[in-house]
Amino acid sequence: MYSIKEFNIVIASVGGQGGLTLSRVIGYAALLKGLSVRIGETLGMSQRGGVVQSYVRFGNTIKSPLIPYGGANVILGLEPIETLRAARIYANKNTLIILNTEPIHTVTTLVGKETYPSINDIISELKMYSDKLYAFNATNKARSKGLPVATNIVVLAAFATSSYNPLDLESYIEGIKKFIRRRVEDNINLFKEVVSELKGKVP
Amino acid sequence: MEHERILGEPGQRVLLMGNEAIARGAIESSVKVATGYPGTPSSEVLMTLMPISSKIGMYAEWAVNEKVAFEIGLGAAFAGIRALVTMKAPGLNVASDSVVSSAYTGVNGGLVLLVADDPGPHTTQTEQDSRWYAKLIKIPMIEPSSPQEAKDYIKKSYALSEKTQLPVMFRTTTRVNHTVGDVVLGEIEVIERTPSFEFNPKRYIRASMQWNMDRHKWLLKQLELVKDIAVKELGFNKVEGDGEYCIITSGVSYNYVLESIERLNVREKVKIIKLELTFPIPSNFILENIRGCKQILVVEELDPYLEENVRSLLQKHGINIKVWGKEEAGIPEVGELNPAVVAEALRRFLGLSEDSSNLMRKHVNSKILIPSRPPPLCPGCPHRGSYFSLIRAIRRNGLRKQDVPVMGDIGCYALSLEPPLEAIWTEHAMGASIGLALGLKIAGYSKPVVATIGDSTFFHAGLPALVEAVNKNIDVLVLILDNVSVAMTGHQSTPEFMVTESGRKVKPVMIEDVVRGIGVENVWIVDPYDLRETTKVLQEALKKPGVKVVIARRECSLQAMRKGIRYTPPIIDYNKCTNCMACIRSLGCTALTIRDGKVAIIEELCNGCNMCVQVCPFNAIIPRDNPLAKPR
Ligand SMILES: Cc1ncc(C[n+]2csc(CCOP(=O)(O)OP(=O)(O)O)c2C)c(N)n1
Ligand code: SF4
Repeated sequence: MYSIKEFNIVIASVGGQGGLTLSRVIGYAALLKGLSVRIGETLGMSQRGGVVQSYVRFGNTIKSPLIPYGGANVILGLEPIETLRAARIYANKNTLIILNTEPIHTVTTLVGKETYPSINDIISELKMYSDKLYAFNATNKARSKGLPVATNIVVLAAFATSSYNPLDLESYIEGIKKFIRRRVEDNINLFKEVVSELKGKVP
Repeated sequence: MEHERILGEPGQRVLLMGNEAIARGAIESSVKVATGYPGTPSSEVLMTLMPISSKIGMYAEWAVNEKVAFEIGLGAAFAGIRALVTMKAPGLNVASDSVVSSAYTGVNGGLVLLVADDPGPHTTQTEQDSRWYAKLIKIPMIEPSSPQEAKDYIKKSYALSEKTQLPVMFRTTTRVNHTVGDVVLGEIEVIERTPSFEFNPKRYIRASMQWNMDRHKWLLKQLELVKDIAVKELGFNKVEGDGEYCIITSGVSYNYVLESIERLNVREKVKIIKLELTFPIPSNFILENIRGCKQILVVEELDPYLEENVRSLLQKHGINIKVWGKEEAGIPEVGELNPAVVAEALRRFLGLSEDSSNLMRKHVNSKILIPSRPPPLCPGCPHRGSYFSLIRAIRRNGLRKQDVPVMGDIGCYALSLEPPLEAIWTEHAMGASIGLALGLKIAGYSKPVVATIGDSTFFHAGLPALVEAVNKNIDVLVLILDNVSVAMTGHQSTPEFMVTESGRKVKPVMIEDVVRGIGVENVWIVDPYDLRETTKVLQEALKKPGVKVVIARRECSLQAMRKGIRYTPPIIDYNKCTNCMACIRSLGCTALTIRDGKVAIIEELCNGCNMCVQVCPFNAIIPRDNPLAKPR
């Protein structure tokens, strides 16, 4: 009924931001469409605050949990430097990059051993990879709706409005119901609100 | 939610992680005893089974370490009951003594031993390739490549185990255990057996030279049976395509091979020989299928295990086909494989020109140096308080940090290696902190030596070393970091619990009782959130001779927060704050950040532990709640 050869999404995040949950939500939405799904991840050793990359793949030909270098259709960036880290490996000139501009410092930038780059520099470099970029402060949006931990859902909503999105809103909502544990209704409302606010803005 | 996916109807298509698929496979196989010891990437199998175990009449519990776990599974299998034992690769090192003997005794009920390797290694002390163990122990080994196969092959592994009376090693890698994929559920078999055990010394007693040789002969005979049963009856191993370029592969690498073939558009040229029984090597199957091959490429992660087996098989049969292995194809032994590496190897093998595989992308010249993000301890992590206090106690005793070796061990607390604490000096193997500290002292190291070890790690393998310390009366300080959890592997229960994740009521075994019981006289229990008291006790303990044990007890903050236990975050009084950054520099808590040039607390991350309150030299962080008043 639904045919996609291969669709690859990289979710770049910091542990605790809900990147893994987001991968399950999207994977479930694809499963509902009858597609074959693979979700993989690369995690650091820590439960909170380490680098987390998730790979969501769906389509008729996919087998492996990993995305080839330069093979991302979409990068969902929940944190700026993590988005850049992922883009350097997985972006190509057609990749849609959605960037949450709210930085999360690392221990090394906090104690002054390294410096956190400016958001403008990060955006300029991302644009060298692909001009299909949408940058906004998703965390503030989530905070303003009283759900500070729902950055992942705001970013999903931004992606859902994009022309790149191959799945329908209803499937994502089903995914949210299945994999978000707390305040499910609030998350669904947040998702719908952001979708209507951003309609037409994301490439 | 979990339950409906795992216990769904046959034919249903659900999203399962490889480990959940293995759990479902165990349910479909009517496994009655499931045990193991936590270890990434194997833990989710039992974590999935435990909460539903009483409902489905299964015993599913963590054991104190992998050796005990294996012995429990083996005992059940002696009694004719199907059992599953799970562990990560180093766990097999711990269990191996019992596993080796189990090949000689064999089993009655099916026994599957899940061993999860971790190429990469994402979360493991080494990149151990456990496939060699199957050869050393001489038990059949099965390797799945996807969540669906993980489930289906568990079922077939039980059949193989019972038909051959041998334990089966089910060997996976992180990319199989942790991949989520669509899985079609199968029938749940119902097997009801009454446990029984025969008196049969020749089989079960490994004390007689003759009996042991007899069993060894029996074992070799069984292994010949394995090849026939696994390949012909159970249909393990696959062949795809009929090109002249043959690729022998197994496990997750098979997926990379398939996708690379698609990308390079070389389907007609190649033939894939996918091995699923990887010990004993299915020699006839390989010999039959390499007929007509011009050249052979072996694609595998880590060691050249298949490669060496294939080369020796060809040599033995006088077959002269060129084999491309690790070296010829440029497939690394270090790290995990990925689609790009495999495509490149395939390109070389097929003699294709550079640009036909366009997978590696060129780097843009960038002026940005992306800061590293070393994995930190969580906000409110009690280990932060323990190590902060330990380092302060060393200094307050007039010693330099670099004079007092702090032996580390395996667990979240090893993250104290990162700045700003940079506390531990070693991380070696489960429980090794104590033994290594003893060695240092016995060798004559004159300054104090400290061993720091987590609660679960202490029970797992630290205890025998502490007995040694008491018996030989060595001067050593053992700091046991009791966060009432096996935190690093996903918050499993420890022997101190009263109820486990399955809902089973158990008798708590308290560390202080154990420690006093083996004769440690100097034992303190402190709350690591209380930096002053913890420092004071550690100062005292560092000065005393003999064996000293300090138990720093405070529940893992992440585990506590998940249960809804958190305190009101403190607030910063910016009239007093001089922006000296002492809080950030000394604790490195990730709930502390710098906003608009000023120290700030990220409220949604902070659990209100108030450790920063205690280190601020200007009393600028004002507590609003008092965790010290409510210990665990
Ligand atoms: C032989 C072996 N088994 C299992 C593991 C997996 N593992 C890593 S840390 C850890 C235990 C952590 O528990 P604990 O000592 O209580 O420390 P915590 O993480 O709670 O701080 C385990 C089991 C391992 N690394 N080696
Ligand atoms: S999971 Fe628990 S023990 Fe591990 S770093 Fe976080 S708070 Fe500390």
